[in-house]
Amino acid sequence: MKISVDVDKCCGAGQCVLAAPDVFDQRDEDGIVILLDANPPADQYDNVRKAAAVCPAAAIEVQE
Amino acid sequence: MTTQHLIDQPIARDPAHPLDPPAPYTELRENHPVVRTRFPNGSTGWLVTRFEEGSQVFSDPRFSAKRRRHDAPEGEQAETGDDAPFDAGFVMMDEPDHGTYRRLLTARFTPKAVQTRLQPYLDRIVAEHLDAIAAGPETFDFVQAMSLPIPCLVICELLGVPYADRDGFHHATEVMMDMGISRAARDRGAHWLVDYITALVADKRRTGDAEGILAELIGKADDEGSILTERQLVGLGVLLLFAGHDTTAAMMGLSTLTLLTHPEQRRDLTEHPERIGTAVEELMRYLTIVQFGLGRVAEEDLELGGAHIGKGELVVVAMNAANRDPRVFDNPDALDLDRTMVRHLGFGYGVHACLGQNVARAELRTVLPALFQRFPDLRLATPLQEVPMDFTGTNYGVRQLMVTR
Repeated sequence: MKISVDVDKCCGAGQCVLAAPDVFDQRDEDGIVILLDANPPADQYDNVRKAAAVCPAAAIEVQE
Repeated sequence: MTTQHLIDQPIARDPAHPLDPPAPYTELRENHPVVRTRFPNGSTGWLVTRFEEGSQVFSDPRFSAKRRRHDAPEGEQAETGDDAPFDAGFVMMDEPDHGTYRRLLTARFTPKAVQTRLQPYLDRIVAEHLDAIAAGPETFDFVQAMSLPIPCLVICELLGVPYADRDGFHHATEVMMDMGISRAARDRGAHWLVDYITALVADKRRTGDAEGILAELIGKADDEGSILTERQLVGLGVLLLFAGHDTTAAMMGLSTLTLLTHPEQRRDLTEHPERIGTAVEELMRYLTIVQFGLGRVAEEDLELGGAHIGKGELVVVAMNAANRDPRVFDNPDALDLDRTMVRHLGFGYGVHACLGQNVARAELRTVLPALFQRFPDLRLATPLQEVPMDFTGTNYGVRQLMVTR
């Protein structure tokens, strides 16, 4: 799995952090997404797919 | 094209089913998911009642958020123009401006910021209000006792607005958001809020009060080369104040009514408060308080759900209908607090999705389990059909909720 995030699209809702806290975080100053792990281990795949699906701005792209 | 259907707005709810969207939405969603509609002011546009098409309207950049007011009898004038009582700011902007302005605020609304900065305060005020209910009369109005004061206190804390002013700003909000009265009457509410925030900004500049989002915004507006004009600063203050309390107040009252009328699920939730996260998402889906939908304007001719939308036409998504779409949700008209779902449209969708959604979630997740644990026998003091509902507010809710503890 390879993940990329589009910080220009990100609206800072933080739903990715709730779905996959080991993979995503948010900048303190403006809530924009931080990708902690672009190639997460397999036990994170479900969480990452959930994060990508729930993102209101569709700012997370997942390649499997 | 076959016969062109034209649906007149607003579509009335059935008072016998106060927790459901207007019944005609079901037929529209199945047979005319994107249908021509006539707004109360006589102008026409489109109404979308399905989930996927609704999501597309909110996420496709060919739809612009710079829209006219459609949902009031006189709603022709541009809301972004100088004739509007206040500047609605990023709500009415497209990218990249929208993101630039929204990011002035996002830091205070992340899940982490809400958990660390707001949750301790929320726990304290909810406990105090539960104590006050326990010490008061057995039968009481839940709106006045809890579902209005908690969101008011929270937005006052966040913004740095004196709670003592709550009656004034809440009344002005109700007036401004009442689609059952004239535009001129509604604007009186808006002007009250503008005057109030203008005075508060002046006061904070004079005293140097640095607490809260409003003070932070003043600091940003006063920076040299700031992108934030004075009119935008006041507009953001107005927006955060009314949108930050009226929505959650409506949702909290309606959620409580819903749990009171679903005793088995309410008992399960009381016994398993750890399920509240899932339950709140289902309540958001099931109740979807935005009752006249949200609009976007087509930037070019395009096709949506088989309909041909013309450039410049207004497209309104009935999120309450879309959140009952059987293509996405099994048995959508049933409340199922254990329902798992990918997402819903209760906070909107796309880059304009509700800024305060994590604050609203925190308030609902804190209040609902605590209320029913503290008062396990809580019950309606009137029949469901006699609960006065707000059929004309921008947000659907209960005007009063008499309950017995």
